[in-house]
Amino acid sequence: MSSSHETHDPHFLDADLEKQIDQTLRMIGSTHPRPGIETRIAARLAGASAHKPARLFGLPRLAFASAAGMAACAAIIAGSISHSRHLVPIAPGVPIPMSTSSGVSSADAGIVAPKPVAAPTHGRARSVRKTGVPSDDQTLKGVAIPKAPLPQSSTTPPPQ
Amino acid sequence: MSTLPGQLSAQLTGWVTPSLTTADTLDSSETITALVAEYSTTLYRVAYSVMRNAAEAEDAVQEAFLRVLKHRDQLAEIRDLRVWLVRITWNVVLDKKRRSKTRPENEDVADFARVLPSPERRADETLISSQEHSRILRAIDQLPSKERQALLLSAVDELATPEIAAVLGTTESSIRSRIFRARRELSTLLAKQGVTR
Repeated sequence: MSSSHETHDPHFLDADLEKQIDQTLRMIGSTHPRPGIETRIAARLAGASAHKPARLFGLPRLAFASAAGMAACAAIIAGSISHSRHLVPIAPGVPIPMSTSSGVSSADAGIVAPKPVAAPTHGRARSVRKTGVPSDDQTLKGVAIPKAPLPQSSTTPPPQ
Repeated sequence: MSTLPGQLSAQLTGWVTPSLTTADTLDSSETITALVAEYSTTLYRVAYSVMRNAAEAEDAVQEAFLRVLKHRDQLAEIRDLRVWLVRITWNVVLDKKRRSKTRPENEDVADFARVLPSPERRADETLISSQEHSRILRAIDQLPSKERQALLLSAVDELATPEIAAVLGTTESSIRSRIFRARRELSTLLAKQGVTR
């Protein structure tokens, strides 16, 4: 241990400090790792090699997913454009007058449709009038309606 | 150099030499295995000089070798593998240190001094207590970064001044002057703190 005289001597102080600094640095620089560090590093490297990112067709998964998404978007857009081109009206022989009016005047009623709208063959109208005898639940209360139709015999002379 | 397992040393016999500087004709995995066997202790010391924690230093070395594995295609182009490895480890360590600045320090200087005694350590070296070592290390941490880095790398036995200059990307004369300034400032700091008392 240093005495008080020695610690007040600047030369001794410097030498002692240098010695301590050297010892500390030497201790840092000569540290030994725990035994088996090579094995642990090799195990971690092997684990890292085993857990490579998934690849599809030689591409990383993220790149493959991005490419697939872009292809799907392109297909949807292309299909939409193609469908719109097929919806252009084809005139069945009747030229469609290109009206320049605003469509609110009475003269616009003269525009003829290119083709009359045909009624659906197997469809039904929105409302169907039912014929025949109405059922009880359809008759008004208090109104007497004969159940059977009136007889139409030829023997019975019509009332005079 | 650390002790190699029997299988590893048998695999590396004949070509793991101190003159290992290129990897021309070797398979990359074998090269990495050889690099691990050859330089893991050196890289551990480099990492430990900054991290001051055995587990974190080893983790940094492992991460450095993971980067080597990632860039194994460049192995054949590396002129000096040792400097390259030390530089990778140094960058890993600085990254980890930067990220862990918010976390509390957990030095284990006393731990490694107790657990891993060097057989060639002289008796007078053990006179300095671990507390004094910790105080000197804290003073080193207060140095400017350039001086501190040069001083810490100079502490690693296997690194000479040209190699430290290559790792830090400067000249040898600059490294010498940085180490000189670092020691002078360190002495001043410790004298102010009265470390010898």
